[in-house]
Amino acid sequence: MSTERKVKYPCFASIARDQQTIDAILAKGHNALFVEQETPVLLPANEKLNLRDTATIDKLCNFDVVELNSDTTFYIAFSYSVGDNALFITNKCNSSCIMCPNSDYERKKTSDRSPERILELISYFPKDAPYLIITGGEPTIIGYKFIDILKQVDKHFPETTQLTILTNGRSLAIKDFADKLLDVCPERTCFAIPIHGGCAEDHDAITQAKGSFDQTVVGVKRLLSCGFKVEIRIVVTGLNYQHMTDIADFIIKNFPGVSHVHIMAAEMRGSAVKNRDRVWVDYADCFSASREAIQMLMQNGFDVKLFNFPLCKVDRAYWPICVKSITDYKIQYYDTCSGCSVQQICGGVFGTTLKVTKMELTPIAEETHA
Amino acid sequence: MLNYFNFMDFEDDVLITNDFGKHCFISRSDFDLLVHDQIKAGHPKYDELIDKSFIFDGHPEVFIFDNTTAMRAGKSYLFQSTSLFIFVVTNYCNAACLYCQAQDALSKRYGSMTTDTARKAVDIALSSPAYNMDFEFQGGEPLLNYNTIRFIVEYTEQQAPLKHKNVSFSLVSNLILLTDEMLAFFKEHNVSISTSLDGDACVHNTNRPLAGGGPTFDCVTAQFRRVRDFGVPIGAIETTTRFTLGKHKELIDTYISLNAMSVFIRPLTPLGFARGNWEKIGYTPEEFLQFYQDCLEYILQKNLEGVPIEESHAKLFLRKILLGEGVNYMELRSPCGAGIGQMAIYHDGRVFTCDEGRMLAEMGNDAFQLGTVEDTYDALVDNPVCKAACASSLLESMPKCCDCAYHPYCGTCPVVNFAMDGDIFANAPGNYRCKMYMGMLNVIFHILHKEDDSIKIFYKWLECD
Repeated sequence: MSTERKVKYPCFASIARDQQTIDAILAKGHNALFVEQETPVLLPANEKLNLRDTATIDKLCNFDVVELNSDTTFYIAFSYSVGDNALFITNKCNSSCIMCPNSDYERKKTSDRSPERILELISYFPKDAPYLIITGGEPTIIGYKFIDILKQVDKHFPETTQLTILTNGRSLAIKDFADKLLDVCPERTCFAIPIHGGCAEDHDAITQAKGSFDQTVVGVKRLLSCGFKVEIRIVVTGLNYQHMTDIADFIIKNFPGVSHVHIMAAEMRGSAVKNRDRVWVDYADCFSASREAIQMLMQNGFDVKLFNFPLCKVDRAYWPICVKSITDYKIQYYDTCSGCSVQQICGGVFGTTLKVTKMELTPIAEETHA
Repeated sequence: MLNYFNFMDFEDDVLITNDFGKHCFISRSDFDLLVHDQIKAGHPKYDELIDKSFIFDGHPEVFIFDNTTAMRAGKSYLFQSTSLFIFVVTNYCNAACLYCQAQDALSKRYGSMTTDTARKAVDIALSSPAYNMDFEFQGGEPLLNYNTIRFIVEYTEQQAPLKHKNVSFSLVSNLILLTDEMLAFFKEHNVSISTSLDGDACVHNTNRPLAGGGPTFDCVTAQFRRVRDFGVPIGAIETTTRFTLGKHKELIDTYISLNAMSVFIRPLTPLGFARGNWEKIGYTPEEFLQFYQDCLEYILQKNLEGVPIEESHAKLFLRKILLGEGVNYMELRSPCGAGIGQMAIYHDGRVFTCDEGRMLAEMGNDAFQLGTVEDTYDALVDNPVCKAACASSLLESMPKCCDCAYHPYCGTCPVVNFAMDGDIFANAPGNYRCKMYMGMLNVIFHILHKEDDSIKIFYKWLECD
């Protein structure tokens, strides 16, 4: 006899494709979504769900985690196959960057998951996840509740799970908050923090938050002095591409303990699109403007990588530092890319960017002589 | 498209090798096609050449991307810091081996390591970032300073967990002074042992007499059995002198009679007494290589008869040749292990780049000293001597070595180069070590080229790890 009860949406569920997995999931007191039949079934409630996006469901594997909404849409909270191991805390942010891929509306939307629901979600994540990215908006904006979440993350995941927190670091300028956070933060955590300019004037003009640069710098220095791994991200756009060497110079002089600098091409979505006139510069020009900065950073011992740049926009000599990084479902290539001889190692372009900018991509020809 | 490769004529074929340590025997006519990038799908050698990354299809950048991990694997020893620490606990010795590398007739600084020096040395070693470490006790005869060995073991066992280190111990000893108490201690603390056994009684007693004269063969073989029966891991190594040449059967049979799992056939290192005594005990590279070939062939014959004895030098080479492993044997890596892979701490607290570096110091030349136990690990590695040793042992940057087909498997020693030729950079391909290693690799590749049952034996050796 099946136990039928009204399911309270939105709810979390782990994907199951066989009985063994169902049993393992239910044993933890979790919901299982059995997808190996025509209509997915939510267990233990035994409710059939007419989910619309069956194509995506087909890609998910055992123990992936979804959040099911009452309107038959769902959100992938964790997936081995689709590859976005992110713990999303909130859309809200204490800055308002001109090129933010989130829109003003998204940032101000109030329907965030409560911290309690976030803690519940953490319990669903598989413990053998190779990495977890804690992100937002600005995850620390939820204040001291973020510390509880971090405690739970540390408890749930073993040493082998790499932890990265994406933050603007501003809240770490508040001593009490920083002390309490860093006290519970697992030693292996990496903080990925964006710097948009080489001085307060340039940086704050982009974040549109006065004082944000100084706060971020204090935050980074505090992290470094406590021995945490810090990665600096530079999003290159029309707003700052002419200041790349200033930014590199600042990093070299002020953040010698930083291990990585990731230079990112912007996703043209949200505020970035709204402010396209100021934000959009072809990726090739963004790269050219960054070349000297890359050299400076490398010569000073920083590990530099390029993210979200298609290879045809980057000098061949720099291809080894290009990372194929855009999440699968966000990548797109042009039709002309199918003739490109290096497509399999290229990260492609954000689908959103292609739609918005109509940027040209050039396939790389085959070589006949090495 | 062609990937970079080196080549040499080998018997009636051409031997090609590449940066991944892969090798291939190819006929002269196919080699000609290869050089002109004419080997395409359908050619009988195509699959093998693709598989071993000598040729590839598609864009070079894709090939590079796909093979980054393989490149890293072959050089994996570069991604860890110093992990072998040699503690020369004394240079007193109860023997007077003809080729002693640990002493020179001119050496007057006799001494034993104090516990104070030992403590500082262990502290330095445990501050190397590597997790897995080996502490090796050497001398003179280290058992003459057993107290310090015991101190080092006990102090390390106390400190290592606090520093998150995993340390294993080994002892290089002639075993003559081994007592029950020592043996029990070594068993309890998992200390493995390496001893020298140079051949049958005649050869061994000639090479390795007691100080003041007298045989050691009976004692060493008895101790070998005793240690092994007590359950302590033990292996034996051989050092070749003029007296050993021609007596390969007696040597191997002696090892087999002891049920030894392996024999490590080694040429003389021209340092210490060996250098002074060269006319009496030395030989040309060609003479050694004949001996080595005889040994290896006899060992393989024995293996085919069911006696599973391995030759350790060949095994090191084979791990690189057949398995592509980034073997961390300090003398066969590029750059060598000086400072960055190993350090030798002398009884008086001086720290050297390696075992050979301290031997050179015993000959009166401390060119390879990094500092003392009063220095930090960082300061020792930062010493320009360390960089010089690395720079002069990097085969990829040396004019002849970079083009040699054996370069993925070989190594050079800046200390030996300096002692013999007055230059830390090897005068390859003519120099002593080069002739030795090339010759040994020729013997091994000759066997690989024959493609008979010996290859099965080689693979069997590689499985046993």
